[in-house]
Amino acid sequence: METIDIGYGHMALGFLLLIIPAYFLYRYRTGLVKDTLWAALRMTVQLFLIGFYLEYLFLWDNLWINLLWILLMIAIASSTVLKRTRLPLKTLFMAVTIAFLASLLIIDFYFLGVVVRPEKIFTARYFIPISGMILGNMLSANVIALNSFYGSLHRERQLYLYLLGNGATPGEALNPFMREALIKSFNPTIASMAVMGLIALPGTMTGQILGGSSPSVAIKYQIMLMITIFASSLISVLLTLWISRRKSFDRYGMMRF
Amino acid sequence: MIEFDDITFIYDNKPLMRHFSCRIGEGEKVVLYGPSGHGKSTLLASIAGFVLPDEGTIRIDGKRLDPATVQHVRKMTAWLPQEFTLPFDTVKALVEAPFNLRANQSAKPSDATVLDHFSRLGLEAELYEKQVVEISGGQRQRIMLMIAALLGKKIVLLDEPTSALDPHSISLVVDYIRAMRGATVVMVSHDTRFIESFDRKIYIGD
Repeated sequence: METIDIGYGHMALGFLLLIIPAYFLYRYRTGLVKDTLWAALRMTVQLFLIGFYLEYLFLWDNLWINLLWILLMIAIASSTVLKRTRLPLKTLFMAVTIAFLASLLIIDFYFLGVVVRPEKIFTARYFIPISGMILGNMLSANVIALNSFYGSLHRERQLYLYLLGNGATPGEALNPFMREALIKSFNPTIASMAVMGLIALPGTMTGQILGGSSPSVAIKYQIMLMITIFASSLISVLLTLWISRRKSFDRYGMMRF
Repeated sequence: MIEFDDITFIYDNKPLMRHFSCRIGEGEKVVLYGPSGHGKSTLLASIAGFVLPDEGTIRIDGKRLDPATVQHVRKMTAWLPQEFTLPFDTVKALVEAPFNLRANQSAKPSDATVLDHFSRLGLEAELYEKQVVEISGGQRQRIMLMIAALLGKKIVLLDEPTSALDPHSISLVVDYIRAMRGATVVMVSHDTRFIESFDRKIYIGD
């Protein structure tokens, strides 16, 4: 079953839908009209570029190019995480990058090598989009976790010192902050997993159905991806926290920033 | 037990304390006193390695305090901070928290021991079952002092342990601290009555 292509003229018609939100945003003087149009423009250009790159990545399907592409995506993701959490880029960039790379590779190997089993694990058609999806979810989980971890360490420094000063190892003194970071960053994912399929049809599934897959195949991918995303986000959050911790404290256990 | 050798602390590019030296023997109960802003709390915090002197050395139990020994030193200390809003819901959870740490598990007191210490500090037994928000600042301060004592550490660091207490409670606290035999107790205080109750006082000021 071929998916119907959308012609450029028809895409232009699709864009007309934006007139309605733009009008109301203007009428209520939200100041968001310019931002909306700019965001829509950026999104369009970025996705066209991605579409263009992906065409070539799929065509070449070369292991090294694929890995290089993933490395580039990881580097962008790490710097985005650090910028959004306002943590020092120089100190923590490598920590987050290593954490992302390690957790992505572990999960990719397992998911593609054991569950999906394409002929080549790193074949672009599976490796690139699945890694991209995992990475996007890792990014938001890590932003929440790092914000919570470092934010509460600053706010509740007394608790940290209290535990340290009464015999806690550095790991024990950080445990309450790790616990809070995990709860904050995984509660939303758990909630959305629990209602999946009831309230909304998730993106991958919709995409696959539109792409011509049968719904029964699409749900299998969706289920596996949810599990994969959950596991990879958790592994990456733990690795990021563990590795960044080593950079964030001096040898006396005091925070550097 | 604790030796400060030619310690200088610099804060905001100004010396907070200059060339301070002193020796505190095992089992001594020592009060640091003097005007605010001259480094009493800083000196106290430096024993646990929370603040590092810009010059000079600190020795605990004969060993120089450095990254290699700080972990060992912290296992020997009990620390009562000046201000604490610790996130525990119940008094029981507050009391139990430090005893859940690996280093302190063997010191975990029975409920009977806790209640015995409560009475020595003038605290009613019912407090043990209450929420932390239901008890007063003075009650909380005495409970935290009790935790520091029950941990059974060699070094006990108390930052303003009586700031929220009335004269009667202060005298109970003084007796309580004096009874901590074997423990070296270093305290910071602004309370004249409290300061006068101890033989060894160290003035920290100009």
